[in-house]
Amino acid sequence: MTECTRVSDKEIERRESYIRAGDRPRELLDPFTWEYRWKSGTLFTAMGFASIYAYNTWYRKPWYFGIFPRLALVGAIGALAYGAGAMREHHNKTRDAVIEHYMQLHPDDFDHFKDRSGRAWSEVLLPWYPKRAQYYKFD
Amino acid sequence: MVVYDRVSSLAVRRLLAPAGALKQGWKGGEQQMRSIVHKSILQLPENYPQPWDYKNKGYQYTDAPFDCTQDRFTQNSRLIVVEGNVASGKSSLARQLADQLGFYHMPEFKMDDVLIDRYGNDLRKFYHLFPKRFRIPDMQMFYKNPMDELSAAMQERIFRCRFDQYLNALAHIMNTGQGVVLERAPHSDFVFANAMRAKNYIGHEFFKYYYFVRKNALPKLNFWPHLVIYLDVPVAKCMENIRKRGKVEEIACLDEEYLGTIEESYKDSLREYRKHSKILAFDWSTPGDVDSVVEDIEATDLDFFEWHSGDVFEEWHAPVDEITWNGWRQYVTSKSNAHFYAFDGIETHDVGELYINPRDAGHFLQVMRQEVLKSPYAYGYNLKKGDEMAGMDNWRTFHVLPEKWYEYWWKELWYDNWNAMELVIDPQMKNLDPDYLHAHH
Repeated sequence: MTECTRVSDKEIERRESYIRAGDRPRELLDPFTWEYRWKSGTLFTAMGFASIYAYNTWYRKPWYFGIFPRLALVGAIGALAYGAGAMREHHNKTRDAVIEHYMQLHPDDFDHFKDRSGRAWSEVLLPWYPKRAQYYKFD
Repeated sequence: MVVYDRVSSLAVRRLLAPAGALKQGWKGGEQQMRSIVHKSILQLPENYPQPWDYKNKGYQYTDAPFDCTQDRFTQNSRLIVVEGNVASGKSSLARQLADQLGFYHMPEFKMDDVLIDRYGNDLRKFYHLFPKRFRIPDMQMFYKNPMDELSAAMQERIFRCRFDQYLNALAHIMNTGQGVVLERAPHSDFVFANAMRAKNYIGHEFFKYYYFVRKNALPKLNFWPHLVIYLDVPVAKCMENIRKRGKVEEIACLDEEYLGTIEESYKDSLREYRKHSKILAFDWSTPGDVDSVVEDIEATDLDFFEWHSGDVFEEWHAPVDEITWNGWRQYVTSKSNAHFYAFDGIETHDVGELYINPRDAGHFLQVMRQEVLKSPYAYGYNLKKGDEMAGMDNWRTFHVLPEKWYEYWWKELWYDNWNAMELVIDPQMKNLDPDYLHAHH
């Protein structure tokens, strides 16, 4: 491996901990620190209210026009979005756990991950012998 | 006793009146039949249901399981249309007829019905603020200046309102069981288009457009009247009646050519009606006695239908089960689908008289908001004008008024459906340009 591609362990540590999902402390006013399910739930609820506002403006309706069914609908959409976010989190966690478990069971298959800087392309690619046109004769 | 060849049909059995009524109605004629009877003879069963309050409740598929349509049908649940030339005496006959038969009388559609809104705003008072295209004439304005280019717009609007009115008549029959006497129908409205074209009040392009719309729209009404009463009055007599009425503009505008074209066109109209309805034509040069008309109606068979002998009454006999009747009842009560099927997607590129400049439309809406309604909200949602806080549980797609039923789309509902790009840059529609009319028109 070429040395110039290598970085120090400290640098790797810094990169790995820079911005990653769930790493930053929760802040109520910063939605980007929220859990995924809360983010999606809030986003879709807000979009629902924005739609209500746009419809009311465009069709000249007061705030209370159709408010009961609309609240029910926005609530249902927000709940669905929350649920979808929770499912996504669950799915990602499960997927990572399964892979980790597999790597524990079959450590030999993952030797090439031991070097954090990865492999050289010569280790990745199959041998390759160029066949060039000028070596062939054509009549 | 009445013998039917289709007694197995639920619809026919529901339409049967009690035997007592039949015996009183027909005194041993050769062939007995179920027809309209005088209201004093009509007998309803004891468990006859109350009329459905469709004007407040509407009628949706969610109501269908709880309210049957056929239970209310009696032998008097019929649609009578009174036709005739201008000033032929339709209104008084229709009123008396409705009184005698116990029918609901629907007077002929007038532009006033849609030009005055629920707050009492008369749109004609704001015409000086509207761009020209939106000053749709009423009858009086039309008579005063029939060559105005908006005569076509008026004629189009009248046709659409007659379309609504006809559906209202059908809805009244299906929701209450009471018959309706209607003055003029959309089916015969073309007589005016013909007359206006003959006098060159409307252009050729609009004339063609009108017939295209008519051809598209009439089948969407599905039901033809049971009975058409045509009052035959010679043109000269009509002119005399019009002079007696004493409306100056009307006298000045309506001439022999106009009324003569109407009279001639009515022959085509009756020829068209004949395929679907029974027709009674009366020489009404001197207005006759309503009792004799009632007798003639009672003697007319309005029930006999065979699929292989003509189309008269076919559409009234086609639905045989409750579900189908409920479907039609919902269709004619809500009117939304009928509107879409009849009028949507018909282009008007080549009809100059109907062209609307988009900026004119924007200005018009701004005037509606700033000067007419003085409110950012549409009809029915202005608490300051005494509207109640209603419409909070509206959920159906086209249920945009607080009420569940509307009489004419062109009365108030159009305002909910119209919009202009001005709203995008000016959501509150506050930037009314006071010089717009001055600069453009």
